[in-house]
Amino acid sequence: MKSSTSEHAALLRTILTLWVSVVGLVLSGGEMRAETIRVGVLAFLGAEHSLEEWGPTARAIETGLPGTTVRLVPLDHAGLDRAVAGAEIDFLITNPGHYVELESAQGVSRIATLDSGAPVASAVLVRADRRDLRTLADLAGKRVAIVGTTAFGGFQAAWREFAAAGLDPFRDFSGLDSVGFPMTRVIDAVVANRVDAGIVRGCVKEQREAEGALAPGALRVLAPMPTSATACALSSRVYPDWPFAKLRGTPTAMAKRVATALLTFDPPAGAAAWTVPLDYQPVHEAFRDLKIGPYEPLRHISARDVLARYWQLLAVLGIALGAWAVHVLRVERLVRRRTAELATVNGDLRHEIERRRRVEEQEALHRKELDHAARLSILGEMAGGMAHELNQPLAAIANYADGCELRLKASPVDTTALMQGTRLIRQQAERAAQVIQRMRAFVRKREPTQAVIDAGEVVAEAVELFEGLARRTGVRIETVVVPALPAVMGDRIQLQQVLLNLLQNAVDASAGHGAGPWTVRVEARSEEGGVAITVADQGAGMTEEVRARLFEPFFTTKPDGLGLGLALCHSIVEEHRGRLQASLGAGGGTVMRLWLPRATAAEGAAA
Amino acid sequence: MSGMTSGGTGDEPIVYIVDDDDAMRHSLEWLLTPLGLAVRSFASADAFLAEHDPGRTACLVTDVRMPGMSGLELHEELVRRGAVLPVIVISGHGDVPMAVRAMRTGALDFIEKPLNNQLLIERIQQALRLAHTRREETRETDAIRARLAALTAREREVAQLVAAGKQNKAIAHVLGISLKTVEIHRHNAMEKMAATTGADLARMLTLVGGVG
Repeated sequence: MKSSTSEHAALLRTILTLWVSVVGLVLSGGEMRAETIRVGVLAFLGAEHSLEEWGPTARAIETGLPGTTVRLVPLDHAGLDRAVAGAEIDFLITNPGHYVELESAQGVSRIATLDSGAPVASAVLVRADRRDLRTLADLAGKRVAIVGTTAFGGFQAAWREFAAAGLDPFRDFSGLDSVGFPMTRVIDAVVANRVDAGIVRGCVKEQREAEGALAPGALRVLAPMPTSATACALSSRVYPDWPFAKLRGTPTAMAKRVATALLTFDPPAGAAAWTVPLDYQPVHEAFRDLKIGPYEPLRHISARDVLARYWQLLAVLGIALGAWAVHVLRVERLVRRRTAELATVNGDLRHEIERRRRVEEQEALHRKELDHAARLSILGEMAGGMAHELNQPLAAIANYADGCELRLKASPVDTTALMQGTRLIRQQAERAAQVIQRMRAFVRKREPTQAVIDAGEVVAEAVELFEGLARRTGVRIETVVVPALPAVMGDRIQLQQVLLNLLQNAVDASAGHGAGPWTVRVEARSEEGGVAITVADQGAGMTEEVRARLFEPFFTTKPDGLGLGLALCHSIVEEHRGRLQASLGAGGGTVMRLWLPRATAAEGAAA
Repeated sequence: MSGMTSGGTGDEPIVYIVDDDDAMRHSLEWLLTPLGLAVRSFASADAFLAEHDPGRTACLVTDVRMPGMSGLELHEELVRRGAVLPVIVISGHGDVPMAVRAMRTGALDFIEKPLNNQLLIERIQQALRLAHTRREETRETDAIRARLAALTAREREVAQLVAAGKQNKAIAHVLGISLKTVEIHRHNAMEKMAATTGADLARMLTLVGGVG
C-alpha cells in the first residue's frame, strides 16, 4: 500500500514539472519588447479613475525614457493576477496586500513606493452615538460593512487587529457586508445605521468631512491607535503604501530606468509622488498572522502535518473505533428488536390517546367559535334594538347641546343652566358608553369562566340588553325575580346568551300572533334546590314534533334561522349541570324553563 | 318628570311632548324652554289624554313608538275627540307607511329621527301659529252661534232669507207675512247678530254652517 502511494506521488510530480516547463516556455516568449511599456494598475474605482490617477506617473516615465510609450492597463484583482501570470504587462501598481501575494506567487518585486500622504491603515467607523461600542471586541455579534475582503486598507489591515483582539470577522460578526467601491458606500451604510460599524482606509473619514460630504463628529473611529504617521485617527497599524513593481521577466535595465524616472518625478499638485521602495515585511507579517494571501496554506498545514506524522497510530485508532462501532450497533439492534413489540403496543396506545385529545381539542375550539358566532348572530338580530338604544342618548345629547347654544345666545347668559346642560350631556354620553360596553362584553371572544353568580342579576342584564328590540316589536317584557335566589355556579356571559336566545324566540313567537300588545313573561324563582328561570310567550305554542327536535342542531322553524341557537343553549346548560325544557303554557304559548343547580358550599368558598 | 310644566299658566301657547324615554323628553323640554315656550311633557299617551287642557292654544310633539298607545293611535284618538291641536309625529328612520298613515289622518307633520332641531323648532312654531288661527276661528264661530241662539224662530227665518240675498218684498211673499212685519224682524235680527249689512250676516252664517 505504501509503495503504491509513492509511485503515484512520483508520477504526479513528473506531470507537474512538465506542465510548469511548458508554461515557462510560453511565458518566455513575451520578453521581447522595447518601445511600449505596459503598466497594469489595480483599478478599484473604475478604469477611468485609474487612468486619471496614474496619468502623471505614466507621463513621468515617458519623459524619463524618451522614445517609449507607457500604456496603463486598468485591471481588477483577478485580472491583474492573470495579466502577471500571462506576462501581459511589464510593471504593475497595486495595493500592498496584493503586492505581497504576487511577490510570493509570481516573483514580482517593488522598485518604488507611493508617497500619497495618506497612510495605509484601517479606520473602523461607528456612529458617534453608539456608546456601547468602545473596543474592537465590542463588535462581536455586530454587523460590519467593508469594501471587500481583498481590500487591504479597507479590511485586511483591520482584520489583523481584530484577530489580535481575538475576533474572527467571518465567524464572530453577525454580518460582514461587502458593499464594494467607492468607500463612501461603507460610510453611508454606517451613517444610515444599516450596519453597526464600517471599515474604510485611514483618513477617508477625515477627507469626507473636509469635503463637507460628512457631518464632522457624526462618525467616530473605534479604538484609535496612537500613531505619528498622520493626524487621522486609525484603528490599525500603518503599512507601507502602494508599490510600483516589476514582473519577474521584466529586464532589470528597463526597471532601473523606470525607477529612476519615478524617483526624480516631481508631481504636479494633487498627483502622487514616488519614493524609494519600502520594506513590505509588516504586510507579510499581517498576512502570516491572518494566514491569507501567500500564507493561505498555513491555515490547513497543521492538520495535514498531524496526519502525515501519526498516520499509523491514527489508523489503529480508526480500526478500533470501527470495531467498537460495529459492536455497539449489534447490541443496539438486538435491544431495538426486543423492544419493538412493546413499542408497537405502546405506540398504538399513545396514538389513540393523542387522537382523542386532538378530537377533544378541536371540538372545544369548534364550540368556542360557534359560541362566538351564535353570540354575534343574536346580536345581529338585536342590532335594530341596539341602534335605538344608542340613538336615544345621542338624540338627547344633540338636544341638550342645541339647548345650550340657545341659552348662550340669550342675554344675560344663564351660567347655572349651561352647567346643568353640560352635566346632562355627560350623563347621556355615559349612558351611550354603557350600551356599547354591554354589547362588547357580550360579543368578546373569550374562554368560559366559572364563578358564583346571582341568577337574578343575569336575568336583569339579559332583559336590559334585550329591551331595545322588544320595544320596537311592540312586545313588552315583564320580569319577576324572587329576591334572595340561591347562588349558581357558571359563566355569566354564556348564561346571558341562553337567556337572550330564549327571549328572542319568545318575542319572535309572540309578535304577529293574534292582536297585540304582547307580553313575554320572565320569572326567576327558587326550585328543586336550584334556580328555575322561565320565559313564557304568547305565541301559537309548538307542535309535538317541533318540541321533540327543538335542541337538534340546524333544526329551525324560522325562515332565516340557522337552527343553532337552542342547540348551543342546550349544550351550555348541560355544561352547567342544568336542564333546559320546553312546555305548553297556560295561555297556549310556549314556556321555556331553564334550571340551574345551586352552587355547592365548596364552589362558593373557592370563588 | 311626567306632567312637568314650564312657563306661565295663562292662555299663552303650550307645547305638549309625549315620549316614553325620560332623557328624550327632558332634553326636548330643555331645548324648547329658552325659546320662551311653555312646555309640558308626558311619559305616555294616556297620561297626556287624561291631563292636557283641550281649551288651550297648543301643539303636540309625540314619539311614534311607545309602549301602550302609539303616537299614531294617540293622534287618531284626538281626531275622534274633535281636538284641533296640530300634531308633530317623531319616528325612527324608514317608517314610510306609517308616515303615509299619519298624513292621511291629518297629522300636521312627520319628522324622522335623528332630529334636526332647527327644523323641529320651525315646525313647532308653525304648528303654534296654526293652532292660534284655529283658536281665533273657533272663538268667532262660538260667538256667532251664541248670538244666533238669541234669535226667535221667525227672526231666524228672515235672517236666512236676508243672507240669501232676498229683498224684503220677496221675503214677505215667501213667508206670507206683511212687509212691515218683515222689516221689524230684519231689524231685530241684524241688531242681535251685530251685523251691519246683509253681506256681513251672510258671512257669519256661512262660518257656522247655516242657522243650524
